[in-house]
Amino acid sequence: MKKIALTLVLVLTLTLSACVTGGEGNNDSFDETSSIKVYTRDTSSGTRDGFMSGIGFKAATKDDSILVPGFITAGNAEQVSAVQTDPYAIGYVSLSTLNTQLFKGLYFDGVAPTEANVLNDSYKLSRNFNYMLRDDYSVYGADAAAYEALSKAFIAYMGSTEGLASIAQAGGIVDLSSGQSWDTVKAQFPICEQDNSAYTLKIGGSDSVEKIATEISPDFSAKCGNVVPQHNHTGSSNAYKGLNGSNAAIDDALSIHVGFASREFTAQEPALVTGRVAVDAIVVIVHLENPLISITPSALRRIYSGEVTNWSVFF
Amino acid sequence: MIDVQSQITIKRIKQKNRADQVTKSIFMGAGMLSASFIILIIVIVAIKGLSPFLITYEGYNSNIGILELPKVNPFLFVTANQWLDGPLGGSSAYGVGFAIINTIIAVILSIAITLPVAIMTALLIAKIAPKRFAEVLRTVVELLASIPSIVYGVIGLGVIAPIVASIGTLFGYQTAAGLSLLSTVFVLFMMTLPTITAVAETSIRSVKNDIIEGSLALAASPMQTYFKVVLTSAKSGIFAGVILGVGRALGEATAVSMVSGNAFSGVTLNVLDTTSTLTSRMLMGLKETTGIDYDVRFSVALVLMLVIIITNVLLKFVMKKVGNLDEK
Repeated sequence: MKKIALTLVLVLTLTLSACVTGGEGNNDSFDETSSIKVYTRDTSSGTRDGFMSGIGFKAATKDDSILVPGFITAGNAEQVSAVQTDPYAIGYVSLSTLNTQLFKGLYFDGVAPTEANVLNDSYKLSRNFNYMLRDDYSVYGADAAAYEALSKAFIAYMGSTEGLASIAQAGGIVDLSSGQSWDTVKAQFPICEQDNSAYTLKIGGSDSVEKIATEISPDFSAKCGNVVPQHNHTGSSNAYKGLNGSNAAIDDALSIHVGFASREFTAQEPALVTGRVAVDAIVVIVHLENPLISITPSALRRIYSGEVTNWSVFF
Repeated sequence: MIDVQSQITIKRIKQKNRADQVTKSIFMGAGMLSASFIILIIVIVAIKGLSPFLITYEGYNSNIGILELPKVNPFLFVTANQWLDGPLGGSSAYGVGFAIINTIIAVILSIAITLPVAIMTALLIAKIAPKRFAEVLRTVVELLASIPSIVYGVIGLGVIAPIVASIGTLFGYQTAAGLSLLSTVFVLFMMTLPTITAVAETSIRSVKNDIIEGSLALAASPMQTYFKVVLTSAKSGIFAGVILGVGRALGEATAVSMVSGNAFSGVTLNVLDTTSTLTSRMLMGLKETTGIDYDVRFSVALVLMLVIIITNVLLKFVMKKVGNLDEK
């Protein structure tokens, strides 16, 4: 009985000391011959869509079976904690969650992941959030002028200082210095002085932009005669369709007044009024001990497809 | 006068009968309502779960556009080695074969650890410990049984996963920040221990005293009595506890999905590798699913229920064979 108790105590002490020294051992050195632990978002994520398109691996946006075997699916917050505990992990998160004190954001093709670099278009792992308006308001009959003014006022609000602040709050990257205050802009839109509670402004398109859109619309409604915002975000392709395409008719369930897309509009989606709302940047993250500083899109493609599975390739 | 008396009595009897009928129908109604919920659940799971095998869904592929997804092949469904072959929403090649085997491995390993500890704890509470200490221990075990499973999941994520991660570095093996089969087994151990201990303790306490006294009278030491006589007599009760524990382990979703790593493919016997169980596969990616991706989770539920039924039948069969040797 005493021998059993003694051996048990010995084993427990050894395990506990292993925990302590194991933890410290992680911080001391980075074993360059270890394999890469790949983290990704799940298939419904817009961040994954942006990342896979940015590295030229678009097929993997919705398809898990072509990724490297052994990948881990994790959300934004889980990837952040994973790269802090596992020195051999690699993942990608939205730029707004980057914290260089806790983990490292890799340079993409030699360009540092900062908001300034995103806005001047040198950091390429980003996607634009664009808007589009209707060409033809005549389907609304007597309300045509009102809806046209409301839609344009909404766009103008997004460019005002207050609107830009709300967009930044919702995680979009904008140039905060480029706006004028809403009081100045409002002068061009006399409709905002009227009571607009009878009008429903339908906003739709990309679900990645939904957060930004739902953040701004109550503020806009309060500043523009209490127009009623109605959101129906079903995908970037439905922006053009609901405004100027096959679903533009007034009684169509998908018809909208303002449409957003988390990509550029194609040649098959022409419209008179389009523009950029904000930029969404994605940054590749690794543990602070990882000696890597910068990474190229082709290297990322080879990591995520399983061609490269070992960190030694980079050193 | 006698007539009036009997008339009043007859009236009272009729009133009592009516009151009886009314209460009877209220109780019947309540019983029917509860039974109908079970039937409703079974019907919904059966309908939605069998749909991927019986009807064709509409899918979307970014290259082709809208296409018709073929029906899921049941044989491929239960033997495949990865969850989905193809893009989400554009393919119906789902499979849970690897998850079935991983679930069984996880449950077997956790029962292998839990059973000795549970039996020892039950013996301690029922026979060896002094009365007051035994009471305290029994209350502790009951409290453990009532802790919600999400708490176990959070403990697993915050405490057990880092320990497993350092065990991994000790053996020179890379883990996914501790998310692994080993963490799953530990979490399941913590969850099934109180169940098996409680039932084992009850069945040990109900072993007839004359058997114990007879064994002690034959000069067997108390420890020999407990292990060779008491446990053998309480065998079928302990087995019933094991069946309950296995049922809980097979059905555990939240805690397991937080510590298992939710592997997309592969059967693994390596305890430091990520794994996935049937329940964690059902939870994975549930937030924005529609169409076939949502209905196929009910199919996984059907497979899970089948596994539970088969396990129960097997265990009961073993229990009958083993229990033949004793009079209970």
